Amino acid sequence: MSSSTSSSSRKTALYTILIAAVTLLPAMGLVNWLTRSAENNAGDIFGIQRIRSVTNALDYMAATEGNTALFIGSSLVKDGFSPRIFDQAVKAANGARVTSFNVGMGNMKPTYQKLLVQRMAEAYAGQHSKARLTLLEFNPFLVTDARQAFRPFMTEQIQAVLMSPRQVTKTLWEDPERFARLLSIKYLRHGVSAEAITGGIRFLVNQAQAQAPMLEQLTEDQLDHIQQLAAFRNQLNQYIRQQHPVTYKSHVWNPVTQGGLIDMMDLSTEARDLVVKISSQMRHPKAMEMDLQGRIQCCDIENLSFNDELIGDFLDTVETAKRFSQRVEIVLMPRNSDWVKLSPEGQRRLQQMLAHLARQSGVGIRNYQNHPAFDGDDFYDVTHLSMDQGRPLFSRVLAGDLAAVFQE
Amino acid sequence: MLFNTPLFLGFFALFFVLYFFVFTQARLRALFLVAASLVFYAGWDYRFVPLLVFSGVVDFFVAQQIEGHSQARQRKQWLLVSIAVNLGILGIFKYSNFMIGSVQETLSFFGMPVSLGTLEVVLPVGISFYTFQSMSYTIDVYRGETRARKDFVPFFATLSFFPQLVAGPILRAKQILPQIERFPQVTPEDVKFGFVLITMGLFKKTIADLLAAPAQTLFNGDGPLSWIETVTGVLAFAGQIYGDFSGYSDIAIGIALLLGIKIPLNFNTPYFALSPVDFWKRWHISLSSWLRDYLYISLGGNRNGRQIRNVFITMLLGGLWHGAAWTFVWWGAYHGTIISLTHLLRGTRVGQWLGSINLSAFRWLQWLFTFYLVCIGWVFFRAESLGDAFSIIAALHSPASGADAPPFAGGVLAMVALVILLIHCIDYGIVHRRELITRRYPRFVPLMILGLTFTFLIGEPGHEFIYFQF
Repeated sequence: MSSSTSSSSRKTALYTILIAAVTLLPAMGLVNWLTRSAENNAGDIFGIQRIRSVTNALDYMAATEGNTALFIGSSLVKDGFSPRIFDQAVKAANGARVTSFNVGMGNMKPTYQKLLVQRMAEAYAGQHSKARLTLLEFNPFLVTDARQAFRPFMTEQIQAVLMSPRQVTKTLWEDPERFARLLSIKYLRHGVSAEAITGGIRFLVNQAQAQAPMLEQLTEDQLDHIQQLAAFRNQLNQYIRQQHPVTYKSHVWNPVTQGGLIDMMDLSTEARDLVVKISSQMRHPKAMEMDLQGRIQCCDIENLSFNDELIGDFLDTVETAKRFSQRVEIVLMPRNSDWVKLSPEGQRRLQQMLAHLARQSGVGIRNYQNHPAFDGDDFYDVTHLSMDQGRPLFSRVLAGDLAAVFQE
Repeated sequence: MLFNTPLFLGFFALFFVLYFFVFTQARLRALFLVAASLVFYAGWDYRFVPLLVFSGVVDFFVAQQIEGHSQARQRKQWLLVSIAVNLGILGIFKYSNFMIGSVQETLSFFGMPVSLGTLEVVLPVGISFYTFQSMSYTIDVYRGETRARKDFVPFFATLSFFPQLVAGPILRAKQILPQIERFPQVTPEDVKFGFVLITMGLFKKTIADLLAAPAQTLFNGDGPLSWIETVTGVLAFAGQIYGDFSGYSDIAIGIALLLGIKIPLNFNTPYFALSPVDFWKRWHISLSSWLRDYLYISLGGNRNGRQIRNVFITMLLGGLWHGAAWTFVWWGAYHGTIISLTHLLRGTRVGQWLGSINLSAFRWLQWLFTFYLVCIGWVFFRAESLGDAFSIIAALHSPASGADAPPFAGGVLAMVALVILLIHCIDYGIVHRRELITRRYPRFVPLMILGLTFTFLIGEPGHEFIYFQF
């Protein structure tokens, strides 16, 4: 064996490093730029913008003085709860002043909720403050085995965004491979993982392939209906963009709307008419049937085979929430009983689970699943409350039930 | 630790700096290479590090014994020890459950159902590669083609060389040992070509991962498929396994080049082959040449009119090398059959007449027929069972049956075909345009940046390489 490396060998090594830098750095820069551009310009196609904007707003929420209430949950909360209507209704009920925040996000499994609530606890600890009330949504169909297996490609990126730098570092010792992946997603790729892009493309192609034959089966009347709906939506989006140039992006958490979406009260008469039309059009039986089938497939919405890991994460979430909130309650959003019929097994499982949660968490549960105030017309699909009816109604009902909390 | 992950990038960056700037003394460098390779291997499963060391120690010792004895009988006995140990390791870890299962099925077939249970063994990653590589050393020493080494460190650095440890290419000791012993000077041309190989390998792997979806639809789906989807699925797997494995090989060879170690290319545009024999000269070249040199020739080669028998046995065992399942045995037997038929045809007047035809249209036909035969082989290779394989082959030949084609099915098929062509174009450039690439390197840098961007941006960085399971 020759005894040592020559200086020319080291020069070549430096040349190697130079070439690596010349190829790798621009490629990484391009990835960074492309993911950022996609995030800024293509809407929330990777389901991450709302989550990131919420994490960016945690300090703001924690620093808000007075009675504050947080409603943390899934898209059912995001679409179904108006903080401003809730605040007004509480004030009207007993004169109490409260500032509530909508912290609802799509795809919010308890695994993610748990991380989000940990970040919240840190934000509140940093501000030396506490929320008056934290409502944690328990969404039965988001804690099923089926849902746990749904879109696995989303998991890593949502966790990367929600994990603290310390939590990311901790994974270095447990799983170095994952550590490197999380690091890259969090700091190089703006929270958008390669798997999410690939998975998203596959999902869209599969959906297009699955929908195309269905479209072929649709009658002319049904196709007209779909086209009309798309036209109404475009028109409404234009109105909203014109009338609310700052807050129009529903996927970005906005302090002006306290995290909630644009409400009917924010819109002009023409825009409000459009909202009513859209809600009504969306409840077309064919669309509802397809939506229900989708929920059965992705989430086991009728039988509710619960996933132990997700339930464990939810209970952890409740415990963490107790650290930064004077009062914590679990809420179940209203169910569209016209469409979603729990099987006897599903009903039994849900009842057992609620008893289990009450026992394990030690907090109160407000169950609006079968609340008599809501009917099918309050939803725009099989699960989400509508902007024109369901959301204001639910916000007022909830305010009525909780007003006393803020007077104590 | 997969090549296509940020972790490997970090690992290799650290390794590279230490290798060239800290461990500059040759012996220390060899030791460091061994340590890094063991860390790399332990990243998969640290429990199997002793097995790798054991295989290396046995063959290091056996090679010395072979060289130390002058009597043919004793030399042969020691060689048999090496072969028995290596094949024994393979047999226990890779084939034991397959053999137990096969015995059970056979007895059951003859009306004697028995339950022999299964062994709780995990297949160590790369076992088929490093045992073959290790065996080639003792065989070469036995044949007098290389001398037995006295220093264990460079020998083991060769055996455990991390770029090719888990999925090849399978190296011969005589090819790589002299290089590791003297750590040759890395040239700027090596560096440039190394980077091209790494980038293109990553690009191919990403494409392969994308092709996995239509292949899975066919081989793992549960619904009836249209004929066009069946064709797409088979083609997609042909592209997937080629992009995946040749991508891995390119990355391994590229990384080795950055360290100054030259490893021969493992693929040469295999789907451009004009006959099954030609295909095996272009596909997984390090394995096919290993099987030729150490198995086929040991069986007698084409002497004594036993070429057909020897080809068949070689391919059959080559199939079994890939995996412990009857589908792989069938795949090997299938290739043994088509290669044998090719040889038989060449010996006939018709074959000689066909060989004399110098028309491009005829070559296109030859190419198409060879590609068709190879794709049929892939069905056996990928199918979950022999039953599935035969069903898929039947569906492939029944255009009128099956479900209605979904929308975009033709588009997906065209995309898959284009992607396979693209991988071949890359391969062609790597094999035939090396000099041009290194001479006009700056022109290729933007392409490499785009290739890397594509790789980083999409795909599944955690997706394992198919050949790791072998």
